[in-house]
Amino acid sequence: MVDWRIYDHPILEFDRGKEVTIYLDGKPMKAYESETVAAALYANGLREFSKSIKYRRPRGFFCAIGRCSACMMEVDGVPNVRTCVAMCKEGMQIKRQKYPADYLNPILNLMKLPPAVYMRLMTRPSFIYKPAMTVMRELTGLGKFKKTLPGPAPTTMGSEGTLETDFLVVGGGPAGMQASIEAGQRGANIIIIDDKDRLGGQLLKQTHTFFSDVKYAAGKRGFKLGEQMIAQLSELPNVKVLTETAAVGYYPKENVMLMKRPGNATLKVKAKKYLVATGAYEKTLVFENNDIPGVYGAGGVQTLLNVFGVKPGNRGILLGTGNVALMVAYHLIQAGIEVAGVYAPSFRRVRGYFVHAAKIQRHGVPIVTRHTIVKALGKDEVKGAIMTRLNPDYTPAEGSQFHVDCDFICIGVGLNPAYDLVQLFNPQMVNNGTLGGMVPIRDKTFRFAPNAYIAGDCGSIEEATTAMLEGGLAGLYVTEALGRGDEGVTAKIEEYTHTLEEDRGSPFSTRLKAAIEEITVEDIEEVLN
Amino acid sequence: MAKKIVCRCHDVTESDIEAAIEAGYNDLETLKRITGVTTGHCQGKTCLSLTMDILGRYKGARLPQTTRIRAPIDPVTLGSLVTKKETK
Repeated sequence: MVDWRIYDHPILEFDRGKEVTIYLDGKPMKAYESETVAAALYANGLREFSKSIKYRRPRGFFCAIGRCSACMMEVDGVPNVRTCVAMCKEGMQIKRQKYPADYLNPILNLMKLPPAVYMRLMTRPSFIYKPAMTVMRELTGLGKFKKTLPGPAPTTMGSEGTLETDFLVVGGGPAGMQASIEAGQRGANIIIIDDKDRLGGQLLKQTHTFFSDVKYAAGKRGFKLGEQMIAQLSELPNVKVLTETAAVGYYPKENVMLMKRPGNATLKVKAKKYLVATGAYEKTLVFENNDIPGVYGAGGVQTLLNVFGVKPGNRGILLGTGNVALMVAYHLIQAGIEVAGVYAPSFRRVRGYFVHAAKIQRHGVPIVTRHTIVKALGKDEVKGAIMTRLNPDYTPAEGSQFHVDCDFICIGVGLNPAYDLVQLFNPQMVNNGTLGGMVPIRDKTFRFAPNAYIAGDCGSIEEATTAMLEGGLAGLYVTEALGRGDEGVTAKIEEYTHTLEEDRGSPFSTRLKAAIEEITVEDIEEVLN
Repeated sequence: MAKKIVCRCHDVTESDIEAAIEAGYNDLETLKRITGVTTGHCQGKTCLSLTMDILGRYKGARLPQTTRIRAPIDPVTLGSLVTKKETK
C-alpha cells in the first residue's frame, strides 16, 4: 500500500496521534486523528477529490486551509464538506460526489460550446426552460441532500449566545498573537479566535530560521517561535482562546461579530475594540490546466509537508521568486523532495531575500527568472509542465518552449490580503499593487474603522516579523484606546515603532514604505465620513 | 480539453471572461452576473483578483474597487443560526 507520509524529517517531529481507519467509498484507509481528511486521503495516494461543477474536471485540493472549494466530499452523509479542514475520526465514511455528467462528459465536450453562452441556453421558448433546468440539475451539481428528513436537530447545534469583551482579535497568526500578548499583559479582557484547531497561523509551517534583526525573532525557527507565543498566551488568564472558530460577519449597527463554532454552532461577540489580523489568500496564475490535481498553492504544499508530514509528490517545480516560493522550495529540499526548478516571470534577479535564494541554490536548484508556465501536462494529475521564456513585454518568446518533468506544480506568486472581514466594517478601501491588493486606509495607530484595527498581512503583504511588530503595536494602541495606557505602554510603542522602521529600512523596502505611507492618514474619522 | 480556469467553483475560464468583456459586460458587477465568477462557494477568494487583473488589462488600469462583501463570509448552516444551543 502506498504511504506518502514522511517518517524521518531532519527538523520536525510529527505527532500524529492515534491511528484510525477511515473509509473512502467503502475502502478502508489508514489515517491518524491529528490529520485532516484531505491529508489522510492524500497520504494514501488519492489525488482527485472531486469533479468540477460544469466540465466535471478532476480536482485535487489546492489551498489546504479551507479557502478554496476543490476538496469538497461527502463525509458521513453530509455533502460538500471541505475535507482539508475536517479532522479524521474512527470509522468515517467518505464518498466522492458522483453525477451522470461524469460519464457524459466526453460527449458533452465534443459539443464545444462557445464561451459565455450558457446563460442564454434553453431560455427560449420559455416553456422549455423549467424542464430543461430540472434535467440539467440532475446531470451535474455538488452534493445531494438525503431525500428523507433527518431526526430532530442535535442539541449541540445552534446559537451559543453572546459574549462581551474588551478586545476581540480575529486571527491567531503572528500579528494576532502578538497583539493579544501585548494587550493581555496589561490586563484587558481578550478573546482571540482562529479557524484552525490551533493558534499559530502560518508561523507553525516555517521550518527555516528567521534571520531578520528583530531581536526576539532572529535565529529561531518559525514553528518554535509560534509555540513560544502560544505558551505565553496560555499563561494569561484574561486571554480566552477560541480555536476552530471563524468570523462569519460583523454588523456595525449592533456592533456584534458573528462566528461559526465547531458542531454547527454560532456565537456572537460584542467587543469594545476589534483587531482584524486575518492574513492573506494565495494568488494563482492562469495557465492551461491550472486546476488539475497536482497544481497547488505554495501554502497548501507547506501545510501538507510541515503540518501533516505528507509528501506532495516526488519532483516538483515552483512558480514565483517571492519569499514564499523560495521558502517552500527550501522546505521541500529539507524533506528530501526533488525540486526541478524555481521559475518566475519577474525580470529582476530574485524578488525574495538573497539569503533564501542562496540557500536553495546551494542545493543545486536552479532559479530561473523571465520564465513562466504555459501548460500543465496530464489528464487526471500533473505529469509535467511546459515552460516558456518571456519577452520583455511579458509575451511568451517564440520557439523557447521546453518541457520540465515533474509530478506537482507549486504556485507561490504572491498573496492577496484577506479583506473580506475588513470590508464589513465599511472602511475606505484602496487597490495597491505593492501591498498586495485591496487594503483599507488606516491611521498611524492602525485604526481603519471607528472601533477596528488592522495588523499583519491583511493590511499589507509583508512577512512574519513585520506582522508580529504590527500586531504588537496594534495591541498597545488598543490598550491605550481602552484607557489602560501608561508610560510603559508609550515607551513600548516607541520601541516597536523603531524596530519596525529598522526592519523596513532596507533598500528593498523603499517602495513598500512609500506605499504604506500613502495609505496612512492623520485623521481616520475624516476619511470615513 | 486544456482549459485556463479562473473560477474553480463555477468553472469559468479565461476565454469565458474575455468573451463576456468583449460582449460589453466590462465591469465587475455585470461580469459576475453573466459568468458567475466570484459567486461560488469560496466567494471569490481565488478568482476575484484574477478577474480584476483581466479586466484591468482591458481597461489599461488597476481597478479601484472590488465587489461588495456581505456577511456571511464563511458558509454557515441555517440550523446554527435559527436554533438555540442547549446549555449543559
